[in-house]
Amino acid sequence: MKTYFYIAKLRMQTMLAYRVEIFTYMIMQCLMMVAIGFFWIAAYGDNEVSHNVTVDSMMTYNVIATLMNSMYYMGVEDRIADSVKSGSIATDMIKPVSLFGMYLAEDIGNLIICFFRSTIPLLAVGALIFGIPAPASPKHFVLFLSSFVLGYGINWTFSAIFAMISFTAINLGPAFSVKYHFVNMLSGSIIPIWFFPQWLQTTVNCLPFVYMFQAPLSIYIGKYSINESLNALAIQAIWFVALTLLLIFAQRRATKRVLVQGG
Amino acid sequence: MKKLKHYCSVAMLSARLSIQSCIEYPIAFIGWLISNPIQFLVGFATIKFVVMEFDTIAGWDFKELAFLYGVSILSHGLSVIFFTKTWYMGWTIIHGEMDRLRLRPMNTLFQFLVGELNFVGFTDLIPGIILFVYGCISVDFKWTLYNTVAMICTIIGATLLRGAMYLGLGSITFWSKSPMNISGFLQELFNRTNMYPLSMYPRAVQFVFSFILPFSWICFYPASEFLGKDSLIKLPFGMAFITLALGIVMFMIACRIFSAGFKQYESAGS
Repeated sequence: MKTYFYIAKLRMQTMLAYRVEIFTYMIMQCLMMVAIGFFWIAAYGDNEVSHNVTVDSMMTYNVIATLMNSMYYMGVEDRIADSVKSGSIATDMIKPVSLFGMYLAEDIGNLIICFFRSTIPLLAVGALIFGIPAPASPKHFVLFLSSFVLGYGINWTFSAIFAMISFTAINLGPAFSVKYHFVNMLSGSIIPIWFFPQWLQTTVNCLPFVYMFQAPLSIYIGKYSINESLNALAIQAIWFVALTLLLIFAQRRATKRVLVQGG
Repeated sequence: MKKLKHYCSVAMLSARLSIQSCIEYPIAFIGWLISNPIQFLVGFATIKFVVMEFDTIAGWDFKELAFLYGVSILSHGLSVIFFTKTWYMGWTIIHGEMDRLRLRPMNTLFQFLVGELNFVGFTDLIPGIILFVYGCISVDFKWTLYNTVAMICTIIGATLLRGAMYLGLGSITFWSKSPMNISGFLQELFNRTNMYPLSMYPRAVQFVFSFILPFSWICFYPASEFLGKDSLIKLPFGMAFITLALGIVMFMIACRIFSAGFKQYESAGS
């Protein structure tokens, strides 16, 4: 465990070196949050409520979605793709720690830095422009926190599994791009899927993407009652376990491949 | 004159090389051909869904929004062909790739931009053209002489504006020495600020996106003039020419930033 703490600490120090990068990224996210927020205000127009969600809740949804986005920094994706390409995966593998444990520790390090450098400033700006994004109730907030953790887990394992494709394919650009746009659109991080037509909603509900963003957010703004929230949490847990098992399986297979290649 | 001819021949040659190298990896190209249109399909679908729910956005109906989106995506497709290299500038600089360009007896920026034309960008351009044609048909765009000239100016200006922003921001790496990969985010920001009418924002935000970060000149202002819509700035005509002028000016500034950065460029060691 101590090793992983150390890895996370190292990663935090590295991240601190990229001050300009984090700051620029934060400004971009900030502009995006403002753009989307005012888009909702304009779209709602005179309508007070749409799909049982008021304008104010929608603002909260948008701000919290931005905050979550700033913390969902999935470094694992590029990390695997790059190290397979450059061959440094071999040195990663001979280290006496679990490969994915190490990557997760690095991403937790990223998350901590992003929390202080991006999330808190974004929250301040969001609160100034759109009002304080308060949760529906303290109970909802507690449920949201656990839902957020599970959402992070789903997102991380999904990214890791996805990046494993790089063990077999060389040019991953198109695949990453498709994944990025799918996660962006089908997770409800920009537009909640309750605006989609019914058939699409049914389809999207069977995919893991909604459980990365929309489920925690729906809990936060109180679109889900306590019972519904618990339901969503259960489904999230199932997805998380399923994806973790898949990751372990994929890692075993990929490790064998690498051994063959490396020689 | 001879110099110009030389530059042209180099450009032609590099275009041919880029097409050849693209044909070398047909599967990757097909991959992009499938994956790139998806993002615009998704973007287009979200406009549709939101409009289905709320009818209009700031007085723009679906057809007009489709037109706006079409113009924006067309210029995006063009910018991908010519400026993709600038997205990875941070990486190029950090890894010392610029050394290679520096050693050649030619203008560095020219080599950098033209030397590696991105043929894969056509996979972005194709959906751009389709959406543009769809948008023009749906708003019944009149191809009079003035409109045609204005449209061409808009598209050239918009492409340059996008390119200038990528190049300018990418050049920061010369000083910061840390590879920044914000191009994806920048693209999304461009698309998002031009996907919906700017007039839906409060005045302060409109001001920011018009004068401080001139994103809205990419296509919102020209498109709103074509459609006769209200916007923050009222002009009898000529929004398209402002876009072109702004594009050229911004691009020149970006070139300056690049040259200034390049002058104090230190190779990445070894």
